[in-house]
Amino acid sequence: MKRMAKGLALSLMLGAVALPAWAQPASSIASQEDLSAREEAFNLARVSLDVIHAKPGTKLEIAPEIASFERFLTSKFPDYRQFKRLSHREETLAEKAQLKEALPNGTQLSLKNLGWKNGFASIELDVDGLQSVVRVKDGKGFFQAGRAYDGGMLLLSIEVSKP
Amino acid sequence: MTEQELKELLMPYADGELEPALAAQVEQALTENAALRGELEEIQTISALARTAFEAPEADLSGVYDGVMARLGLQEVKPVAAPSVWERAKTWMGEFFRFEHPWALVGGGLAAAAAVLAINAAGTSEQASTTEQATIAGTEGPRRRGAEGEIKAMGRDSGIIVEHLEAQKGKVKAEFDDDPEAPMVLWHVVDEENTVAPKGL
Repeated sequence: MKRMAKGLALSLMLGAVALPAWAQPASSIASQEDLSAREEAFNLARVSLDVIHAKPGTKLEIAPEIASFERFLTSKFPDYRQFKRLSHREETLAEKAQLKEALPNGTQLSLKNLGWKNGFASIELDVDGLQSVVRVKDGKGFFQAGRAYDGGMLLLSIEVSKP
Repeated sequence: MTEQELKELLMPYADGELEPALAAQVEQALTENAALRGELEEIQTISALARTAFEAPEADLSGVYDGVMARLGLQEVKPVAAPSVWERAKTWMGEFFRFEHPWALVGGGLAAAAAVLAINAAGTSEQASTTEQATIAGTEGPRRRGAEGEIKAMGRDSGIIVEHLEAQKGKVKAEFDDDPEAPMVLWHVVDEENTVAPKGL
């Protein structure tokens, strides 16, 4: 009786081990490849970078190409009145890929796409000793500010979206 | 699969609970259906915010504190006066004499005594909360700020979460706005550069 029970338990265990392998059709392997391709596409992030020079002044002057930021520039940086865009760049980054930009103050900015999770893209930012990981919702953006440049301050506008 | 069925699968999909084959179907539908993507993002955003609310390990409260102080400054804090001894006596005497049966007088006496105790307790707690409010409104409390060189901060608005913030030199601050449309600013200020920094840096 004991031997029979052992035999039954053994066959059940073997069945449990063999069943998933037997049950997995060839097409599911293909769909897994498909899944990783989709995951790769899912993790692409479109990063838009504007390098802006902000200077104090009396008259408000905002370059037309960044006029859409006016409301935020004036409210977030009230001590600065002149805003000039020095460069603009947009890149689609695969997961773990980086955008590197040489900034006019001699430093280098690096933005790395760490992938999407829960509707937010994780972006690792590294610029002249500042290191940050910011999670950005699709279509949203943020500023990085504070470092001096040519009588004013360097302002980086970073927007992230799904391509 | 109908759109309704797909919508019902979004929550388990976001939680990673779907079978791979079913998850693949949902993903396929997501690539084709913008409205579905929008729903998924809403679900994910809500989950992320809820999770962040519970997980937030450390917070830079310097900006928050200023904001609260500013708001408190705009409001007049009107202390609630504790009832006078005469008012308290009137209350319990009234209760005492409203009883019609003699046996009720004993009960009424006990009730009045309880009322006096309750009034006393209420008065004390009101005074305590008033004092506390006055302390919050009237004093400049300590600010939590990271040390120079190694700073971590966390915060969020409707579309941004700062997970990590650190500088090898200078000071950093993640500045959020009450306006959910306004972008967050990651400030990195080095003293000797003399740039105009926000309050708290």
